[in-house]
Amino acid sequence: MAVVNLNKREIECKIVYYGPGRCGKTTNLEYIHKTYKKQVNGEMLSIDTDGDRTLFFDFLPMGIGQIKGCDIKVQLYTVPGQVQYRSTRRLVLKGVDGVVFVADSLKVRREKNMESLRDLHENLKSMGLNILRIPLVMQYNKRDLENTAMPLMPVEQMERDLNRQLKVPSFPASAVDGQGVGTTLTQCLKLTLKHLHREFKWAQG
Amino acid sequence: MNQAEKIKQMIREAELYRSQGLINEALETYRSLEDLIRNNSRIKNRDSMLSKITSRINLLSKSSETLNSPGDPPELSERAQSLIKEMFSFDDPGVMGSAAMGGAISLAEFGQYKKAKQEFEALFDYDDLRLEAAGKILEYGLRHVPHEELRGIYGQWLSDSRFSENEIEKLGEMLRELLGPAGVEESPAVYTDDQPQEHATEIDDDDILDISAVSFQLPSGPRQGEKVELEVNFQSGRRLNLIVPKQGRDTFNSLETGAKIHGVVFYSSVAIFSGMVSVSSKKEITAGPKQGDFSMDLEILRIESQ
Repeated sequence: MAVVNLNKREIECKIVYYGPGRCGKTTNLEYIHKTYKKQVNGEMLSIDTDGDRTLFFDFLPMGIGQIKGCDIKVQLYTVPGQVQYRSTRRLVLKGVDGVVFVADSLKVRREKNMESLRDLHENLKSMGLNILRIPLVMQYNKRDLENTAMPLMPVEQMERDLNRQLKVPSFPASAVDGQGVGTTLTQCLKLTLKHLHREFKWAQG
Repeated sequence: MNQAEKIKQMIREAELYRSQGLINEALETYRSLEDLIRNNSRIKNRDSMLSKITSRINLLSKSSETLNSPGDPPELSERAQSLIKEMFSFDDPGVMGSAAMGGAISLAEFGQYKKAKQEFEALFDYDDLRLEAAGKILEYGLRHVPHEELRGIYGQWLSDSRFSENEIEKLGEMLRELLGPAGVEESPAVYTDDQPQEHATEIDDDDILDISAVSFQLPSGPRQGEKVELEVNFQSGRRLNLIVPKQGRDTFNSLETGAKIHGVVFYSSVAIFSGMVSVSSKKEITAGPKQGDFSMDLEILRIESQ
């Protein structure tokens, strides 16, 4: 749940990167950390990893400056993607204001994408949140592999699989080289702040 | 695509999956490749290819096993534990100490049971939170520690003056529910309906049976919670002398003079009973046939069931 202080004109919101294991959630945060240095408020924390696999979560605090007279702070989190860390995902999701769902474009991960989206839906539901109402953005990651002979899903198929009902903004991306990373985050922030404005009427003018 | 190209493509795919950490997918691709090569006797260098693929499959299978059965979460650094407490705790401003409770719950949820237990125990001084904190120790303990250790934890609370009789009773009930009937039967420290709390008695030297051995869980030290059984060397009423063999140095070091040990099981030739002891003295034997072993004196403070 966002912290909205109308007296101090400050908003602090939480955005969670969700998706199946190894889809590139941490890589998204690493790229943001590396590229948006001015906006990043502190170090990126990776709370325990097994090799380069996230076991707990990653955390990146950002301050994106003033928007409509309010100082906006954002906390970015990732969840561990592996199926068995369900309870950790639920904990990290607690108090979420916006979600980036990172899907893996590799054909072999088709089922895992759908499984993870279902898991997100269930976890949000258990917290009294509706996946159709929460600010959500879809990212189809690993599009850089299109230039290789690897079997990737076409974006249209991913849209059909994951976004037919949700109809949320979606972006092809390649988190390793940063393509689409900023756009995804910006769009998620826009949706989140709009959503918070409907609730708290924080924006001036 | 001809056969050779197909094989090359499959190897490229499998290696890409492996490099992306998609171990199961890499394994599956290598297995399909193995089948393809095995069923085609006209492939050049068939045997050497098969041997390379088999060794790849073996390596990946090992990684896959580890991945699919990760076990308990690792214990995090103190800094990471503090961050978890800060980031995920909740606070009910109406209840004193509730932020600390929220922090302890977060730690427990993230599998940091040892640290969470310490945090819950720190809440025992708050009347409003004691029962809940102790309950959480049992509830989360069920996921992370053996039943025996849980019973030992409860046993320690029996003589903790901060707990009221009512609280002890509720916690005993909770422990019974968590462990189930079988779990309770094994427990000398948990009160059951036919073993009420009033059975706890003060000690009269004449009432003590001859005790041949004692067993208990180590209350502190690196082997905390581990059950040890020690033979009684000599007994005078409620005072017992034990010899700890030199190999049990860890056990010896874990027991400080003055330490109270709860949930101790006393074995005698006619009955088994439980109670609480204190360590009255301990020393290393420096001469004679037991040189290098340790001697320890215990005093029985309380018998809980007989």
